[in-house]
Amino acid sequence: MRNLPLILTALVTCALVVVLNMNLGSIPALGKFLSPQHGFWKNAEAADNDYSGEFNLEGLKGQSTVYFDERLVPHVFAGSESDAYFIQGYLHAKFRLWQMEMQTFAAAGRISEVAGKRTLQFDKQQRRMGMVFAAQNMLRETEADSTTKNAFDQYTAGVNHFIENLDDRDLPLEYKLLSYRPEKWTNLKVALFVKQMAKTLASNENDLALSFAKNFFNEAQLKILFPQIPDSLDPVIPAGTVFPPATINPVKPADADSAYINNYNIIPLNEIDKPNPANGSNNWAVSGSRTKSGKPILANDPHLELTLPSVWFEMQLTIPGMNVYGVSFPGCPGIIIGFNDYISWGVTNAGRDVRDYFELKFKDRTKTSYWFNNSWKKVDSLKIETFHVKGGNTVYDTVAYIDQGPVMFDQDFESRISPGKAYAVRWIAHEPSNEMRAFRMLNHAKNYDEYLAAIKLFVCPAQNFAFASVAGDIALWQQGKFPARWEQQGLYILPYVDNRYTWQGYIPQAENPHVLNPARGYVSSANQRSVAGDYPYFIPGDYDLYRGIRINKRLESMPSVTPLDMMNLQKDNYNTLAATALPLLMKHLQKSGLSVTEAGYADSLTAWNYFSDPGIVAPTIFKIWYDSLETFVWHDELRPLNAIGFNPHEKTLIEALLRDSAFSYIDDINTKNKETLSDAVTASFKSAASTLRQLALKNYESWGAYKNTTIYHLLGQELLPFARSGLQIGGGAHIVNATQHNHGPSWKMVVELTTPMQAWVIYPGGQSGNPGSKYYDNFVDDYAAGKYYQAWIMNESDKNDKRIKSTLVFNKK
Amino acid sequence: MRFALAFLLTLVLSYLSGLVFPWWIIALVGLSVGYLINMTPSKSFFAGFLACFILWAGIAFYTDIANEHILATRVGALFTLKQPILMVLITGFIGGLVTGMASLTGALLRKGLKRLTAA
Repeated sequence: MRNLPLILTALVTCALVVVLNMNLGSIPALGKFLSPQHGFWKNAEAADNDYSGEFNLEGLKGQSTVYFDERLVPHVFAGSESDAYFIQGYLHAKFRLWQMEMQTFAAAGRISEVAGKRTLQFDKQQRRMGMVFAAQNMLRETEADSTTKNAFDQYTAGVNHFIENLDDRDLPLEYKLLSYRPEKWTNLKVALFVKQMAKTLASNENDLALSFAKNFFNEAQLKILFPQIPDSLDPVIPAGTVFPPATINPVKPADADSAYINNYNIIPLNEIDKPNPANGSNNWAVSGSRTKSGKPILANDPHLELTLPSVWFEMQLTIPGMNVYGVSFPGCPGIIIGFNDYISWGVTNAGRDVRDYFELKFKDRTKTSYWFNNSWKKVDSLKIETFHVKGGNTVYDTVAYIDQGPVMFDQDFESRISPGKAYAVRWIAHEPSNEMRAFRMLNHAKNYDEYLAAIKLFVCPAQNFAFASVAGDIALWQQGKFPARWEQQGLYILPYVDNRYTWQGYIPQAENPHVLNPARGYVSSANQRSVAGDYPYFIPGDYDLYRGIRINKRLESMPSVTPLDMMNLQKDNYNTLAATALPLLMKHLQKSGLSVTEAGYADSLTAWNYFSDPGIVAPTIFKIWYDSLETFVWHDELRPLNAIGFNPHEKTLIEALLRDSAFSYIDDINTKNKETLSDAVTASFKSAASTLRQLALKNYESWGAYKNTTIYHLLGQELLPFARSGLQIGGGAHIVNATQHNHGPSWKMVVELTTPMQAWVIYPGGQSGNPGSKYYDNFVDDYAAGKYYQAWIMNESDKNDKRIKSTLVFNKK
Repeated sequence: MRFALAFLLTLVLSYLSGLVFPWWIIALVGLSVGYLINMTPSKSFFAGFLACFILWAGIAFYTDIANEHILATRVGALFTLKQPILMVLITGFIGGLVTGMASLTGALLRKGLKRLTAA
């Protein structure tokens, strides 16, 4: 056996190569990953990288040039609209391919193709919710219009041009870490992206949880726990605006009280990945009559989960007849929020309930027919969904579709549902729509009429579109398609044994809440209920309250407004919830029994000016105290709801206490004593103080440290080194500066409508999605410091400006 | 002399073939050079190891400097390494180990075949 060393060495070498070529759990194949000619080193972009290049491509109509400035913002000068969308697709892919593909995988319920079995239930829910169905409906409508079809086609061609020329070794880092390859981009993926936004912003109702709540509370109690109109509402549309009577008057079915309102017996239906209730935004526009320059100023900051890469990509798109600047969504053509030479617009979420559930009864497990009008009716279709689970078997799921929409919950998905019972979902996001046309027209709009013509086409997710023009108009429309409901319709799961409980019509577009050039000289919205009770339609939703109050109060008191004032307002840390609640809480706090530390905490609250600045402790004390007071008041009676993560809104408690300091829920039903507000306030204060002492030991008690603002990579905790954490930023929930732990202003923009336009912008991220690029997070420190960049609205004659770092040329072949 | 030749040949061939073929081409380069250049097995191993260590660590080092350590710091932290230079060294070590072992196999193969023909 003199050849033993040879055999052994050969075996060891082979084993080494095989092991290094294999993915081990979450560790990618190390040989490939470390090879400096194939792996992650290829993504380590040189700090002085030049993005210049020249392409000669078939399918382009003419010559176009892209100038990248020192922040890597591309200024696209295209010969035609068609070429502009091709280039936008190419640029999105070049800098953000992994993110845009991952988000559309999520929309389409395909995450388990990458992540394996653990995300299968999420994927199934996405399909059952009708996400793909919704995207297909949108795509059909978009492709029926030759202009928007061309926009999608060109955008898709641009993305695919990048993908087709992408060598394995140049794949974005995340593909290398997760070991897969991008697939071809399609127009459907654009629609899927839009539907993912619809899910983020227009699926925030709590119909399922509220229906479950009926097992424990009667209608009168639910109205107290989950009220429709807050006492201190300052609506989007100025109070006193007169609304014409409704032209659609839906009729409540005669048996609604017994068959619907007081009908219960529902198991908790679990919604996976429910949108963050903090998803929202601020926007406002101030008329020239109130500004120093005499020209309107518009401001907008959409609040979304803060991620790296960012959801936004900043750019300027210039073609003959259009020069638009702002942010785009990687995955979608056009500019979503921004300005052109004539107008500026910004959006906040309407937050209205546009999704309802209908309970039906299947004849049997084949789900082919259901009970309707006293007989068995055939379902419209049965769709077999296929899931190619990574590292597992292919899974199939059958989803029935009826005229209302997909049957989302049934025994096949949620085994606790009793046999035959099922719940179909009707959602405005399913309806055919062409939002691309709306954005395209908005990008081109030159005045109020053109803005209105554009946004009229917008169906879902409904937004408050703030508007200002160089001509001097300001306006705001709450725009989307909304069902016209009878009082209480769709708050809970609706019965579906006949047609009587379905939607009877839609609110005519012209009757949507809106305001043009109001006497007060400004328009604003911050996700509060858009109108008070005098609006002639029933409009349930998930609304904020306090940001809007603060914004209006500040705007009301500001003389000769400047852009700097508007930036400062976006950074305003005034905590209106605290200012509303603390005087009452302090009044009822029994100070006699407090320890020295506790008394110290109480003193710092007394001295607090209600600004949630990062360096102080008072905001932390208030936050923990209020949370623990909510627990004290609600947790006993509301235990079953708490168990499914469903709680009253924060505003509900303080509004109830201000109304009645003997509010019946204060009493802890688990004790013999009858607790008073003072007992509740004091007990919760002591409990908060104990938490605070723990935090103080670790130096985590200042608001900035406690909140620990963090921008996670899209893959979250698993890629923590790719995140930016510990950012010292003030603000928080219900505060104009809505920066929470990992959620907040995802883009901040202030536009002064002068000629030429002036704008100040920033977002917490960077233009490149590559964690190996210096442009991955280069805005983050400036963002945390509260800085803005003056947007450079480039003219092509500036092409020799020293701010231009790279130039990319596209020629027709 | 032979050592230097084996070293240079491995380095250059590994680099050039790496431009076209998958990463494991360095194993075939190591095997071939180890087989073709007659040295003791241990010298073959070291020539292969050193060549690919220097090649991989060298490119990584250069890339890391140009990148201002951004990515090596982030990826290093994923592997709980605190210094970007450690990513450079690990890269070199893995490349060197594969090529060195392949060269050793080549040298042993050459000896084995020689015995076979001599017998």
